Amino acid sequence: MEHMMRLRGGQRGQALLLVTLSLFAMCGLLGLAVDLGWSYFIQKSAQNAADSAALSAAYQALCGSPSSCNSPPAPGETVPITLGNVNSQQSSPCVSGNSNNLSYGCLLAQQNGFMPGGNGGRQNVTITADLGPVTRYQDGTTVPTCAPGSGVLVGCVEYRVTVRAVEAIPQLFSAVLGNTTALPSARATAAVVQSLVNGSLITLSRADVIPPSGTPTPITAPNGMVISGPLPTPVPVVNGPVYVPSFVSNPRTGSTNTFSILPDGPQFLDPLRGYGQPPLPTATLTTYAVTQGILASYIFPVQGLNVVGPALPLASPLAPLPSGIYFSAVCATGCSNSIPSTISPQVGALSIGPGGIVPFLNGAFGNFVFLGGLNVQGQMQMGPGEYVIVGGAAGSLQVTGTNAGITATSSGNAGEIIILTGSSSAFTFNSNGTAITGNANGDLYPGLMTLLNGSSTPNLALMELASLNGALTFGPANILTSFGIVDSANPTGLNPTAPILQPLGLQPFGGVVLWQDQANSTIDYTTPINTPASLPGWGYVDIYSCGSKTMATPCTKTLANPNSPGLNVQTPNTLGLTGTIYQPRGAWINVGPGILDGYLQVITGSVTSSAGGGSINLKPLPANLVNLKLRRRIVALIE
Amino acid sequence: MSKPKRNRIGNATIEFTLVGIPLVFVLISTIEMARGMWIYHTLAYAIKGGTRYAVARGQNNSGVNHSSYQGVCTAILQAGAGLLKEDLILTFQSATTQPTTITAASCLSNSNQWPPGVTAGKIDDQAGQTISISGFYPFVSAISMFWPGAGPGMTFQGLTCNGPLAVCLPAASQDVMQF
Repeated sequence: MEHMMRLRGGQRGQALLLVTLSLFAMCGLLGLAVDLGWSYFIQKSAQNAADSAALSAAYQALCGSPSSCNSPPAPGETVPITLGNVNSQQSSPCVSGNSNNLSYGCLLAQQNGFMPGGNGGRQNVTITADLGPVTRYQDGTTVPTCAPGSGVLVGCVEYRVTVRAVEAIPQLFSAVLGNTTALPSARATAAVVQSLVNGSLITLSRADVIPPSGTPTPITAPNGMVISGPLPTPVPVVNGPVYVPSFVSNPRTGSTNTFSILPDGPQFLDPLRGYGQPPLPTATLTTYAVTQGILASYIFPVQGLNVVGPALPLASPLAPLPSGIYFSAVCATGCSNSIPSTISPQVGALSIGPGGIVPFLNGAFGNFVFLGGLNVQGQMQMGPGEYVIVGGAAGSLQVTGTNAGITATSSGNAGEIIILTGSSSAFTFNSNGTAITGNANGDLYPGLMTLLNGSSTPNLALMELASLNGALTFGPANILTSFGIVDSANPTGLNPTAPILQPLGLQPFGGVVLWQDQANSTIDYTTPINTPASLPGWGYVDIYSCGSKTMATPCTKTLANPNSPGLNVQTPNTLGLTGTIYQPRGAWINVGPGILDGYLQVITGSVTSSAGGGSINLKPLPANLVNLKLRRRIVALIE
Repeated sequence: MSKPKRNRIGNATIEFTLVGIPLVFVLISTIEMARGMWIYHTLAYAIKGGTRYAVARGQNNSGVNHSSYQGVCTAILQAGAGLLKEDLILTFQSATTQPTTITAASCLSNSNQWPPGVTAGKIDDQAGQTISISGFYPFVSAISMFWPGAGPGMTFQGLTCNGPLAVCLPAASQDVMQF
């Protein structure tokens, strides 16, 4: 007993020492489990908050409304939300609210549990908006800024929002080892980025539009065909992959084309939705009266109804026609080369006669507006520019006849965009007849009203033309060409990397060679007339004004000319157009007999072949023109 | 008073033997369960990190910025502190391609683009496409020492999910290509 007592006496306090020492190790392990685990959890929460805040702020910047870009802005959301501190490298504290896109992002962060000074002052959230490039923290790679002049067009940042969320966590067990606070933090950057539009042929119509029956076949689309709705009948033979939404099944099981079913989502919506429409020229343009509507005859500059200068030189070969607004007229009193007289507008298309060659301005970016349609029976030599063709009940753009064609003489590869537009119903005038107040459908092309009324003084000649019933009514476009001069109709879409840069407003439409107005569709698009002149129209499918409220059954309208949404293509060999043909949902392309052939990307409502025997052959853009591939804006997390 | 005391001499040893074995079993079980959950959560976190890395580096990233097997696995191992690259088995699944299953170690030396894009004749890297990464990580617990003939118990290297009494911890993450 005494022996044991002695031993015990010698070991007294050892347990205390061991426990004390091991407590430190235990605290370390407990700290690892509890504190580190909790930090990971908070870090995940912070990442969620940062992701949703950054994404929603960037979405607002893109769409200008709290709605997602997948649907049109809700009523009352037509005023774009202001952008927060763009170009600011300063991180600003996150103030929740609805005042701008950044505060809305902060609201989302708050709803996900993170706000400055939150959780007893331990949290902080900062938000930064910028136009500059992003260097990702994770692997150091850089996402550049979009710079059309330098050729950076895709995979680049137009606008970005970076959100950092952090929370200081007081440590329970790790504090024993001196680590009193952990700072789990998360960073997310969401950006409005340019993304490539994939697919050679994109049909947008759902079960809503019934064009004349028939389907061009075969359709050769090596880059793929995206069909947004039920398959056209008869089912086309497609050489190339086909992508359809999940409610469509492949009727050609075992055929050569690969048939992919994807969930119904943004890839089946108009890739250019939200861009509005290509703006009309904003520069003041001279108005020209063309006698008898023949572009090779007398062409006078006019003001009001008076000829104010000598006719354009008509020596052969014809001098290039300058930028301007051209319309068909007859002389009221004796027209001659240099004697001022009065003119009166007449209904009818401008024409380039058979065998004639009419060149247009080359060397600078031209702006041409043709009122009443354009009928090319000879050869039209296009310089780089924007060619707006307004109206033309008999055919908005007609290229018809042997050796008829459009030859591009584009210098600097700036490219051409041909815009087909017009009124779907008659124009209306105010009581004293001095101003056009809008037409019944309110679906005029943005800027057209300004053009007709004149920027400062009313343009009497154009108003008088508009008052002639049907003068500016839209009709189908007919391209029946190349019966003799193969490959001559060769305008190329706007080149966003060209040295001669097109106006800023046209840059989003880089690659587009032929654009059909969204007003000339059987689907109602949200009215661009109410948007400020400085902004493009929304260009969303209208699902609000009629109350049907689904993308599958949007609001429709009746057009004065039921065939006007059509684009008729009859070419025996090749069309020669290069770039993108855009038609809104609710319009269609009617091919045949002949082929729609070219280095083309086609966005249209649907395709048909009423005459039978039509086929489509869409070749991928050649390497030197790859920048013409269409781009769309998306919002994405980029780190 | 001294008599019962004397009778209980040695009882402590027996009692400890009787109680101690289950006690140690419970103790080790607790620790091992915690360790298992720790590894599982690390794995899930790592896989999610890798998926998030990939969805931000799709078709729109020209050239070197495309995500590759290499890049994704680097991101996974960065996020998953302590995971052994030889033991981590990853399955990469993209929209239109057969899944690829490789270890993280061999993945690190694979510079092929993933999700496959135009160079491979695929569209899996386009925005909107779904990708998923799933991973398996073997976990052999010290509890197996209580099982007669169960083998070596805890080892740290060269494990496979088919090993003796190995538990395969699974984790998967699915996301949509963003950019």
